[in-house]
Amino acid sequence: MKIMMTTFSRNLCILCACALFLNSCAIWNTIVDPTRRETDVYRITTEDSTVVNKVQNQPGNRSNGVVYPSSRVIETKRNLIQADSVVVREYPNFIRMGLFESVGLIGSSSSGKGLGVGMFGLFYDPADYFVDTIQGKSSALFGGGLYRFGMYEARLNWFKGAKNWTIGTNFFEVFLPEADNSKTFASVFPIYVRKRFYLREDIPYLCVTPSIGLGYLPSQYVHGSVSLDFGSIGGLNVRAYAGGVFGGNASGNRFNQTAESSTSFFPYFGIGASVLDFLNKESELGTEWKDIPHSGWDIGVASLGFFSTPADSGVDFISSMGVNGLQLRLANASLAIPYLNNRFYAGTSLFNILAYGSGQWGMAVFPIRAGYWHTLLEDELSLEPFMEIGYYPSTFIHGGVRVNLALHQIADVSLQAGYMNGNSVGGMNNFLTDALGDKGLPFGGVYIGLTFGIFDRIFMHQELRYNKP
Amino acid sequence: MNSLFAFLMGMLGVYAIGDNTPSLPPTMFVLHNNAQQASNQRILGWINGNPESVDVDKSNDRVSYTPSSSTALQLKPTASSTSDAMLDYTVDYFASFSGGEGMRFSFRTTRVDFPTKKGIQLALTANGAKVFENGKLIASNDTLRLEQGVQHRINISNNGKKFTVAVNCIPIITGRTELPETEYLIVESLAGTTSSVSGIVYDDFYVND
Repeated sequence: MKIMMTTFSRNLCILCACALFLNSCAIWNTIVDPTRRETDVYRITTEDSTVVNKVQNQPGNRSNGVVYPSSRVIETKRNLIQADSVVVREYPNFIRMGLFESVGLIGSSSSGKGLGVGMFGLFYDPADYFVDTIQGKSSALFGGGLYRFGMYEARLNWFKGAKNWTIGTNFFEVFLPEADNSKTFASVFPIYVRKRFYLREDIPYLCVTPSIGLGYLPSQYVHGSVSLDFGSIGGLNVRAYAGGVFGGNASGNRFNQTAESSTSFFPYFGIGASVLDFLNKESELGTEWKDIPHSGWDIGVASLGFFSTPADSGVDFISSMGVNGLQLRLANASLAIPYLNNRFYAGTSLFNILAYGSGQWGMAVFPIRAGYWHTLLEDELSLEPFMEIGYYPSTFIHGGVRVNLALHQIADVSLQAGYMNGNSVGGMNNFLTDALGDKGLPFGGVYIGLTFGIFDRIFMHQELRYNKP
Repeated sequence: MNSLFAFLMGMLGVYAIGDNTPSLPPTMFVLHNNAQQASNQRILGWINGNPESVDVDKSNDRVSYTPSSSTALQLKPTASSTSDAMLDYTVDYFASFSGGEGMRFSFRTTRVDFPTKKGIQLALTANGAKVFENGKLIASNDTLRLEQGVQHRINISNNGKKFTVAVNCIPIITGRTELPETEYLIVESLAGTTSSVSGIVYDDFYVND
């Protein structure tokens, strides 16, 4: 049985880009401004008196002894100067703001229709990455997936100021309970109400979060769930879910091309993870941005590198630039380890694509990375030896050293040299194999190149919470 | 049944608000927001800490305080004004209270830094009225004492370096200070005192149109 999974996989990258765009663009910031600003005006009054005493004696003799008008002129000026100085304080204005969340669902699919999305809903069969059609599987533990893009939650002030209530939405969310389009529910800007019960109030937080949500376009559904949330730390979160979704797809909508509307319900358990997903406790809404604690050395949306390698043939679309290989990391996080001098880090990325040459490339979901962050020049230049292991769907090991130059809070450039060794992904047939080659070769060797951090922030030594008194 | 209801409400977090949490984002309210008054002056207020500690009667522009609660009041300009700060003003209002330690009114201070930058403070207690400048006593009047259930008229004038504090039309001090002017008037109800403030009118404020 072959069941269509229309559009989702192919559009995943587009949705990520849209969520990123909305999160960063001025329109989105106007709707959900992540910063609350307060100003204080101080007026300093300065009073000043100036006395000008002029005496202009006439030349020549004067007839002393006769009453004679003096030429002395006294001019007194009183000045009042008032100067205002404005102090602007900026605070976070959200409880949660995130880029991407993915949940692997257990128990949501019928027999033989499991999607096999793997842990966190991201460890697909390589043949199922970025394709329109997924074959239903009977042995899949994670039969379905839940994917959210552009999460946002704000404080909900009701029940006379009861704590930790939020109201929020996502730019887009989709439930894929099984390999059957008619049971897929998706909505733009669904409305969610959540209440968090904190079990651990220090970073990373641990909380139980019941929620109820409503999706309305293009599917109409009600989603109730309880989750155990761990995070965020460096924008990384892990969640365990239990919940259920009831809803329907009207006839003729994108998921139901039949003449009749379809309704369905599915319960689920789920294990999820989210990246670039930041959580503030209510009390942190009163903490200025400059005092917000940071846990990572480097957190960013993307890192794109171009490498010169001794490979026989380079990746087609960049070979004209004189380079053979490339690296793309999405949703990086390098978390400082509070040990010794706090400069060792452990990190990961949502996706990591590493290409040594044409047909010699690997892809990893949540690779494991470790390294050391050494500051060469305060606030600007750092040296970063690192080691990275990818385990699925490719296996590779990648080590090197980077010299990072922080250009801005959202951009940096690095000179990177290193060594990679691994096996390419086998069995994939999608735009990645079109672009990078599909020979499925082992790859390995040394390289040198430049890496550009896009919406990527390198934190300085003094900004880490472990280094603050 | 009541205990079940209390348990459910507790689960909702409704009863989890008893503690004063100063780090909570402020809860804002607006006074003089009806059309007639808004054309002249609009007063923004922030409840410091527990939002339940202060009750705002918007129809009568009355602010009621539970013991140990406070608000910060700020006059905002009309829509046609280009200035965003009202620092030279005379504010006139009525305060009433019952028992306890009394009330305290502070100006030339800010809401956030208030615990460390106290500004000029008028403390009204059953033992009289005292004025402090950053914690230092600069004036007192023992005959202006709190009377329960009686409305007391408070008048504070703030102009450049000069300021005047009067209670029941009796000036306690007309003086000069080096403290910078700010927008905020902090009203505190001290321990054991339930109080209210009403009839807040700003006068002689300078609008930089």
